[in-house]
Amino acid sequence: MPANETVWRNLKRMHVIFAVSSAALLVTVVWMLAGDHADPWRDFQRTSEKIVAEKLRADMSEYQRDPERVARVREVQEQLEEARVAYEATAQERAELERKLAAQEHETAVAEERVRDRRAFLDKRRADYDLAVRDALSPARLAELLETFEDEQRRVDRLVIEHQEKAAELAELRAQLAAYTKERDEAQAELRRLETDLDLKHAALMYVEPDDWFSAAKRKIMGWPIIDGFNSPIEVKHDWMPDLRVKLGMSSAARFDNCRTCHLLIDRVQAGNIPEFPHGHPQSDDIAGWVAENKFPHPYATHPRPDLYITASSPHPAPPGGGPGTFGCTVCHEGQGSATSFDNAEHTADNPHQSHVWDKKHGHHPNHYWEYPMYSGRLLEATCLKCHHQVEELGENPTYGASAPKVVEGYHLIQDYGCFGCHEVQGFDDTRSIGPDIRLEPNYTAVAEQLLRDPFVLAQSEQKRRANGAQVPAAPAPANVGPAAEAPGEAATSAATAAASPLSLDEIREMTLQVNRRPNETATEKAALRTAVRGDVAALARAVAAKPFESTADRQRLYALIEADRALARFDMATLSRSSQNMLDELKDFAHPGTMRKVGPALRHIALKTTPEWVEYWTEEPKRFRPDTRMPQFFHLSNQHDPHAEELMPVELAGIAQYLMAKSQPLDLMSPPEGYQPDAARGAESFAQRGCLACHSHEKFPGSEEDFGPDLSKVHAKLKPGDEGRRWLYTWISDPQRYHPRSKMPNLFLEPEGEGDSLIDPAADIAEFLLQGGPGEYEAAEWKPYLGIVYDETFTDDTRRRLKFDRAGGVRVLGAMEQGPAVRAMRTVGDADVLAPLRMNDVILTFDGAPVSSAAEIRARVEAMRVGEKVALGVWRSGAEQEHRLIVSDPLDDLTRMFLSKNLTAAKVEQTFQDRNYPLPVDQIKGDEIELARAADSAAPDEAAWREMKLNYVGRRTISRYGCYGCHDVPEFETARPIGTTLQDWGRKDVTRLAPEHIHEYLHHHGEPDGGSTHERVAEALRVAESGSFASEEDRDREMSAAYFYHNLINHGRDGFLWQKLRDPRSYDFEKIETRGYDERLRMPKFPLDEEQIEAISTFVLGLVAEPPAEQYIYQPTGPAADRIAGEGLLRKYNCTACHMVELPFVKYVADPAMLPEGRMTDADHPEALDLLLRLKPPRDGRTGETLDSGEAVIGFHGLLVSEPDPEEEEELQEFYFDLWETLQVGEKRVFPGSRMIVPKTTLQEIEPARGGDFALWLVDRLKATPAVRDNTSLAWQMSPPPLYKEGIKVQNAWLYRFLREPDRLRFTTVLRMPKFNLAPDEAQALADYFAAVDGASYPYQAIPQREPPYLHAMEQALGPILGASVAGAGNQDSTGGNGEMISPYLNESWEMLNAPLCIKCHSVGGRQVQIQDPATDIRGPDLRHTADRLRPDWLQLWLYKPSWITPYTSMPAPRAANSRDYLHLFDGQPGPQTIALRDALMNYHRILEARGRYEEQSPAAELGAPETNGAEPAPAPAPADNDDSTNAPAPAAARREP
Amino acid sequence: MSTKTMRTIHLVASAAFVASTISFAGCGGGASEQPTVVLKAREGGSGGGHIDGPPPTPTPANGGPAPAGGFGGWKGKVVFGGTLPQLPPLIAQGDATAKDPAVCAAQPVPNQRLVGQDGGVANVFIYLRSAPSGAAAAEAPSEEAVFDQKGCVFLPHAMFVRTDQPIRVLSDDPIAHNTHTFPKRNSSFNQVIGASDRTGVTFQYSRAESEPVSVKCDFHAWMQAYHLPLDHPFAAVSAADGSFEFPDLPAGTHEFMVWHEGVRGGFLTRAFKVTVQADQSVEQNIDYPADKFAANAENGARTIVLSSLIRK
Repeated sequence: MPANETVWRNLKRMHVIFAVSSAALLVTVVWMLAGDHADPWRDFQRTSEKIVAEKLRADMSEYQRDPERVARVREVQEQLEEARVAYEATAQERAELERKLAAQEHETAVAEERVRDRRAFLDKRRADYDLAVRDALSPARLAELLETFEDEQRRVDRLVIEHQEKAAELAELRAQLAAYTKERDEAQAELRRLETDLDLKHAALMYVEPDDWFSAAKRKIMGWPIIDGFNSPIEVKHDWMPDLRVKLGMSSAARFDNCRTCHLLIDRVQAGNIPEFPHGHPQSDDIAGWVAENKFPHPYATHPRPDLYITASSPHPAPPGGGPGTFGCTVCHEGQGSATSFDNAEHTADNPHQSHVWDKKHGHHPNHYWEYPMYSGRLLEATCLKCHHQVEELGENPTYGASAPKVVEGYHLIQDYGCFGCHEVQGFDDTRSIGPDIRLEPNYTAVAEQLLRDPFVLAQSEQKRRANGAQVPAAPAPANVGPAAEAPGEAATSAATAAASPLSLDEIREMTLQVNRRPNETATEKAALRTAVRGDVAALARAVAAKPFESTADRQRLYALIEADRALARFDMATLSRSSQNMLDELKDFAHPGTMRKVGPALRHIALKTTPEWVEYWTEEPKRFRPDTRMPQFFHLSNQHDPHAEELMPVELAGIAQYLMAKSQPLDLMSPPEGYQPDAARGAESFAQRGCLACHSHEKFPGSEEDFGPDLSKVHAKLKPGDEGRRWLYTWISDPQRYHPRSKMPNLFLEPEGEGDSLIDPAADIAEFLLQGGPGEYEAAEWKPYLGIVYDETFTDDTRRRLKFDRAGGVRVLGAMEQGPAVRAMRTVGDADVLAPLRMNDVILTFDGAPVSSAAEIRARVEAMRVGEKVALGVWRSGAEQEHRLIVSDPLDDLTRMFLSKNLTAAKVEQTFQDRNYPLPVDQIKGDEIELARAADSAAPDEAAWREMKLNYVGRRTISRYGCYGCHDVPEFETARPIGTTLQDWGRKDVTRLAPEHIHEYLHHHGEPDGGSTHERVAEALRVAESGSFASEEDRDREMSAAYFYHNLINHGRDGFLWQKLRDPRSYDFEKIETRGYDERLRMPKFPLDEEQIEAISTFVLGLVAEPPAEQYIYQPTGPAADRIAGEGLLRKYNCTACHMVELPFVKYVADPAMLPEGRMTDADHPEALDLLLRLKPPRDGRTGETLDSGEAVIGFHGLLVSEPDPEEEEELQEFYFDLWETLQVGEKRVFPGSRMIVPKTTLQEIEPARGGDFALWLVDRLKATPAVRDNTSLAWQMSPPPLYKEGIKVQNAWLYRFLREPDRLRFTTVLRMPKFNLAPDEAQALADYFAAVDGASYPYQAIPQREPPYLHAMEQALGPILGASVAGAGNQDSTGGNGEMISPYLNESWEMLNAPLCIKCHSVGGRQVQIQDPATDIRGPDLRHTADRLRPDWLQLWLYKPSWITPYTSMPAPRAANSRDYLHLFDGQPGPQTIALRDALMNYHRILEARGRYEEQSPAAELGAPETNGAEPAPAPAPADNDDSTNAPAPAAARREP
Repeated sequence: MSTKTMRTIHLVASAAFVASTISFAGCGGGASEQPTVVLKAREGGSGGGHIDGPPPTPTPANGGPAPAGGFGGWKGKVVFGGTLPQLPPLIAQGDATAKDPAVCAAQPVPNQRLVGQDGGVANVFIYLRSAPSGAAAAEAPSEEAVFDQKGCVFLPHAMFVRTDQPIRVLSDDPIAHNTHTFPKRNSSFNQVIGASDRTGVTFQYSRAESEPVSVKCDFHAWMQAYHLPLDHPFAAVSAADGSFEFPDLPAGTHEFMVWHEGVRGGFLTRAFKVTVQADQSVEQNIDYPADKFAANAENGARTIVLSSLIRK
């Protein structure tokens, strides 16, 4: 179509439209750009810059105002001014000088020019000569040219000298001139230096806020839209962590955190890693106010722990930009790292109130599309578990202290309450560590004990007993299964057991393989295996039971034999029972065995200990008997408050008690010596002093409140009455492992002492004391025959109307018991009897024809009947009337029926009841039904026996259902698995798989312990939070915590679910039990935890995510750090810190350093001791860095309290007295350990309590009150468990290991002994290493150079001149021992020194016993035979120099004063060599003793009437007249020499 | 530091110690032979000149010494309210079961828990908590105090020393002893003293104590003595007959501490008031009621030490 002028639209209008739409588009674009540009983070960054600028200005102004600096500046300025004045005063001289200088400069320049000029000529001459040589000119010409050159050279030389002279003059003139300006220049430099800090700050300020218009404008423009894409100062800050991958749905990606975009100042620190912008809630609204208050709100605050996080020197560095090996933010905090807005980052409020505030401020609402929102502050520590799998390091750390105390508390609570008994925390995925590992240890002991109950083993033991009949008294038990009853050597040595059978482990395995492979051709093997099984199993089982983790070889052999026996079973050649064989898997090796012991007491021999009635009473509600028990409650919880449960709970309780008693295994109990009369009062004292109170409490001793073990105040009321209970208690106190090999209760060595009338048996006395109060009486649960009907107890008129039931009387049926008579009710329809269960809303009109009107009436009639009798009920149902026939039943029967019905048809169940036998052969029953089965050939049980069988069955089912064996060792549950869900990844549990059920409804009406509504509580808490009127910070914490969890729960969060599960585990059954079978109800018991503990446990469990980051991020310490952590766990596991302080109290007070007792060496001190001291106990700076407002410094030291202030003194004169245990350095002043520190009460700031040693402190106080100690703190400490201060530098590792395993008697001044703990070898090793690791001592091996020839030879050389000088006829000359071993003269003389009448005063030494007159008052030191293996040489040397430097309270004196000469025949009487000799003799003790034998007195002491073992000296030699001179007189040596 | 003024103490002392090869057979032989502390003070000034000493206490409110009111004396005796009990010796002569019997049982070791003559009680410490404000600060005597041991008995049994005054510990027994002090405000001294060591080892108390310090020998558990270190000279130990004397007290009323080892808790009284008039000597005795004496502190002890004996 040809073009023409016509248009479709009015162009003018089109132009308008176009113009308008262009404008609109432009506006939109601008709007869009503005909108895009209006991110809040830009504001945050700008505000951050303003804060930085403000802070810089404040710092600068403070700096400028700093009086010291101001004074200095003024001083320098004055100097400068003076210099200026002086400078100006010299104007004339300077003008003259300057004129000269100018002239000189000119002259010098001219001279220089001349030199340069002439050098050109010189070069010309040299070239002329060179050309002449080239052109081979005549020698004359050459000589002439050379001459010319040399002339020129001389001329140049002259000119150079001239120039140099002029230059020197010039320099001199310049120096003269400079001297006038020197002072001025120096002052200027100083002024510049004083300004440097200021300049730096100024430069920093200029960077954020430039003051020249160009830079400012440039900076501004750089921030404009689009332009800001090019290196703007305002930009998104990325941190990139390539190795810390983040899970995004099904895949994972490198982690990018943009958190710093808003939290720009998060890493700003001052010197010393102190936050530069500490977080706080400033009163002020403006930046200047924040800076003035030094409190900064989020997101402008620095991280609160820059020493731990972010900074380069911290263990979790997060430098800007990230990079390999860095941490970033979200790996710990979670949340969406890539987000750049508050909302998208998935912040989580600490409580709903905060959430509400955020909502108002930021429009905050949780976005549940991001799976892992940030942890709320209260749960943040959970995150540490990702990398810290040992957990303990988060609770104790020498550098960082307790960095995550809450999660550690949760970890400890889980251990204490035994959660792992039901809920395993599997810390290993194959061999990879994925998180904390908390699992039960392998059940070796219980399996072995149960094997000893195998019929074959029992019969064998019985046979053996008969064979030995004459010697062995007939024991009540068919076998003694207590492993401790066996001689340990016999039981535990694999050598002994291996000898019984000639087959090796490999042979057994091989033969078993063959038997399985070639069943018909292996008769020999079968026979051999059968012999091996019969010969070895019993002894091996005994060995494994006693030492489950040390008898690996025995256990492996036992495993192989049972495996063999299982193979033989196919040929009817088995020796062991099927159930024994079934335990096989429990004996195998585990790559990563669990380490937790069951937290409850063993129930394997419970019949010896208590009565079934008590078991019922206790189990029903443990707190009723012992309010502070940790045992949770299983019964009478919120899902058991219904008639159904009311009927069945007593049956379950009776079943548990019956089962435990029926299965209880015999054990030989111990008895006190024949005819011993125990003394309760003495028992009470022994109980107090011998260490029981380190773990237990008792109402008679109110000061001691240890709760590691149970409160024993009422133990008398739970034990079996009479002699049996007493013997049980005696046995338990004397040897806990006899009753329960895995008990943590140690053996306290409460052995009988003395003889005849003075015989004292502390265990019997303690038992007598504990049994005062007599046995308790408890009633067995009872139940009556019933009809299995749940009645409406109040059949109201309303209900009657609703049901249209228009008659009087009648009892309404609410429901029928499962499997009860009402369910099995029959009715005749026509000719047939049909099942006609009673239902809800049936109304019972008649009972056997008689009208009834109340439930009580029916109940009374039924209870009078016998089980099995028939009852006819007239029942009204929806207007019709029918007769139902019911058979009176018993809840026990019905519970049995209910359990059986899970496996059997109704008909089979009835058959079981008729036959009184489970309808399957015994060896085919794997479950609890075994209790209802009887051997094929046995007769049907009578009524009572059948009832017992049913009770056993119900008991066993109940124990299975509730998982009692998770905490207790229960016979025949050796192979049972934990019943709860595993927890290792619970923190990632899919929330859709949680079943909150009706919890919202429950908490709306219930939920509080007092019956109140949790909903109401939280609503009230939020109201109070809004008004900010909580009474205290604790109230706020508690209520806000509840509010957080409650809101989380109703929003279907994990945190809240867990919280409520721990508070009230059965509440999730709220209104569910109506539709659930009785045995389908929730089973988790209610633990006696408070809400704080629940929060701690929640923190721990929520941290279990089983998502370990890359290997390099997981904290896997090695060396001392690892050993320290392992040791921390053990200190706790065995409660070592109840007795022993591992860190001494730390006392902080205000002291004038001048008042501190200066450490001065006296004449009596050995100078060498000081070096040793400084090496072993290096000085610690006593200044805490804290100062009071008054400017006085606070000093802190580690020491033990010696005495409290005297209350009768005036207040300002009252003083605390401490012994200093460390070397303290305060400025120039050094204070030695052992110094008495006086701390006036008025200046005391704080006494940080010791770590550990509560019992020791308690005991010291108690002992001080005794007349024998009479307030002498030193003596009292010597009688108590010693602080383990610097134990690592003291003892040899190998000794400590042995001592921990088998503590022998070491000290004699104590009132108690180190008990023997049930430590596994690796535990003892870890603990021994712990002390060395903590103190930085060398381990595991220690060199003892004092035993080596080079050292001894050197000593021989060094001491040669004084060696053996005065000894005649003593051992020195006979350096060959009785056995021919050569002992060097040095050692010989050292031995003499050690056996001189010095050490023997208090120590047994050299084969001689110390003489003790009265053990109660005489001080007896440890026997010295231990020393060589026990102590480290350096420590021992220091100890011998100055004992009080090591242990201030010791009675050990410094044996040889440095300024006294004594024992002149030994080392010339010189105390220095003598003290070293003492150490060396001790270090070579056994070797010398072996060579020389028992030390013999050299002089006939006997004639003086002294007993030989006395170590006493002869009567004084006839005193020389000049007594005073005797020390100086070398002769007569014999008179001076001690025997 | 305090002014160097002129108080000297004459401890009528060393000679008595050295001569104290006393026959212990007789009763009361263990009493300290050094009876009185003679004070010569004429200048005013404050006490407590030692660095580590307690701050000076204000003088008793009820009538402090008259300012520059001169000096007077106090003479007295500690009088026992009853008959002095005869305590059996700690170690009988020839007791072969005793430790080091050749030396320690050569003579009986007397029980000095309560000794005296003529109704007087020896070894009672009478002292002021701190120097009265009227008295001049006194320098510690530079001569050494001598603390000896013989026959497994400390000599003297009760001793007053001054802070920073050297104490020379000697032994006249041919066996080793261990001298171990249990002070409250000072670091303890615990050193073996060799056989017949007549050179001895010295130590000193650097701070004043508020009550006498127990001194023991850990080798011979019965050996017991008491030291009272003070930073002023106003103290006396009663002599064998219970007598004591303070010749130079500032005029005014003073409250004396009276301490004896036989009293449960130690203090007979913490405030024995004496009013001294200038240039006069007042005579005032101190009563020691018989019921204040706790016969033997070891009785009734229920400390169970881990050994084959349990003492009740």
